[in-house]
Amino acid sequence: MTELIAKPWAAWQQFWFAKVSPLGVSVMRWPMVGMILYTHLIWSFDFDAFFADHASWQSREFVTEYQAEQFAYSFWWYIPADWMWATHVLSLFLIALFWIGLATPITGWLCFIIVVSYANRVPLAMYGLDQVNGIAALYLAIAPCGARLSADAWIRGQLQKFGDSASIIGRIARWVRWVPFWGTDQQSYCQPSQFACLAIRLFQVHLCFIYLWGGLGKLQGETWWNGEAVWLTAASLDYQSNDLTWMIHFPWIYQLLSVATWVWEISFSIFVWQWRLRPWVLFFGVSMHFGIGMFLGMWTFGLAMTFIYLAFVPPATYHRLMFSMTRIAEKYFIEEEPLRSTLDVIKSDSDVDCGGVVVSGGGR
Amino acid sequence: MSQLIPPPIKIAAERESIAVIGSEDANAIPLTDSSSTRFGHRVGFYLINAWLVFHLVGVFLPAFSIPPSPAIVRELYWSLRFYPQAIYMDHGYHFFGPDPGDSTLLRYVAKNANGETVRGTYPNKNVFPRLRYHRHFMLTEAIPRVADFDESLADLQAKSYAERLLKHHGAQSIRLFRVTHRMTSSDRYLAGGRLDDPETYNDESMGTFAIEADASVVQR
Repeated sequence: MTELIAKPWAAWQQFWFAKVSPLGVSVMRWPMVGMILYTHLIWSFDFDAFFADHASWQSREFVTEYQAEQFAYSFWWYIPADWMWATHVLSLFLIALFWIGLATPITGWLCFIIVVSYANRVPLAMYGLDQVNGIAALYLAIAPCGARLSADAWIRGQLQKFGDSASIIGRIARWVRWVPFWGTDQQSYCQPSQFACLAIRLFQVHLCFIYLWGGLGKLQGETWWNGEAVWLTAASLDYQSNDLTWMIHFPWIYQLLSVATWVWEISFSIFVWQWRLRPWVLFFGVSMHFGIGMFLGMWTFGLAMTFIYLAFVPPATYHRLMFSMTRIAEKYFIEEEPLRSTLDVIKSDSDVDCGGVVVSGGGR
Repeated sequence: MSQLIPPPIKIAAERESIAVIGSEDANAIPLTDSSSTRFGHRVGFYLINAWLVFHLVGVFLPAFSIPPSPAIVRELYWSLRFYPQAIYMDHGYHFFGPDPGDSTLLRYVAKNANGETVRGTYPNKNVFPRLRYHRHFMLTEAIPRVADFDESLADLQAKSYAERLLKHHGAQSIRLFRVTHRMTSSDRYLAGGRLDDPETYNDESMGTFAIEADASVVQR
């Protein structure tokens, strides 16, 4: 009886809380937060039209009524009109800090609050892109995504380098070391982490949920069964960004794509866990999102979805890639001595920082 | 289980050991109690596990509760909705489902104080970058959704859109039309139909709105 509980419990822990290198989540931070930054930057074009209290597309009166029974929170309701633009610029600045990996344990959570607040202020203007941004912001906030490839990592390296110096820089370095996430040496930040595994698993499982419900939702319709759905989507004048009406002469294309879409979406949750099938499953997904971007103009949504695929790349692959890139850079591009020494730091960091052990069980 | 675990990856010969947690490889490091202890206090670890289960249920339920769904799921969702809503994960993920639907646009006729008339269709597909178009398009796409949900809310929505357009055009009054652009089936297209045929558009008045003397906007 004990074994009946112990085995699933061990498997559960193994799945969610194995120790994996934080390099994967650190890599994911760049494109994902970059997309969040871009998404919020674009609000600047129509900021007053969407966010002003008066005469905006979604007035306070309307949104308050719309969210009457919802637990939807936004800091925008508490910002005076004169401070709206300043708050927007500050929000962009904080997201940018998270993007470059500065003070990530703080900026990560601030970024999540910002994403949620923007979404809840203008709920009708939201779509799939914002849903994915919300997922990325929360799971990256949980993850030690500033452990590598970040301003934090650079600062930790500099503090180690100058920490013992008697100069003014050394004194400043020792003072800055009081900041918890800069005080610890970079080596210990690169150790395999259970939070990195938890975040990667959350990305993976959430993506399975998304595709599963996407596929099951389509099964309730008629056109996804009879193969007309992709034609109807492609022939939607208000969505299309490139003409796809030539498909009318090749009905097998849109009929096959219609059926393949929901079959792939539903089977994603099963086949993506099969090691040999995973590249093909992900390749189909990338192709589908590329098509949506190309022909329906939803590049941002397509890219945001495929960025989650990075959670399915084994950490060892990231280590291998980083090692190769630094070697190539060293061989062909870096000749100046100062840059070369910096490169040595990166190389050693990418190669052996996790105690010579690459833990690759999590994230698969 | 072993089918789910990939073969160990030998990245570089210089690595002293390659540990693949969860595999049955001889080098595997079993997850022991000690590693859990290192993760933090035992209590904290159980709390994180409890949160994880709650979180997974919380993000799974909103999509499951979309009708047709069992009443018990909808009731459970209603009880737990505070969590997915608070973290902005209250989504159905039914992209283009159950069927790709008709598009909704907004047409308007605005009059300024001089009696000049401005006619327009919203949104403008030519705005750059494309993300801006989707933001505006989502506003008009939401019109039928809100109307199906609550008529009084739909009136507030129309008023809100009217206020914005009145300000944008510096107009005194405006009449709004909800435009449903029906999709063109493959049969219709093969028979010579076009995607922008006038008969695929259907206008429905959403009301006339005007600015009063006290600067408030009212529906007439």
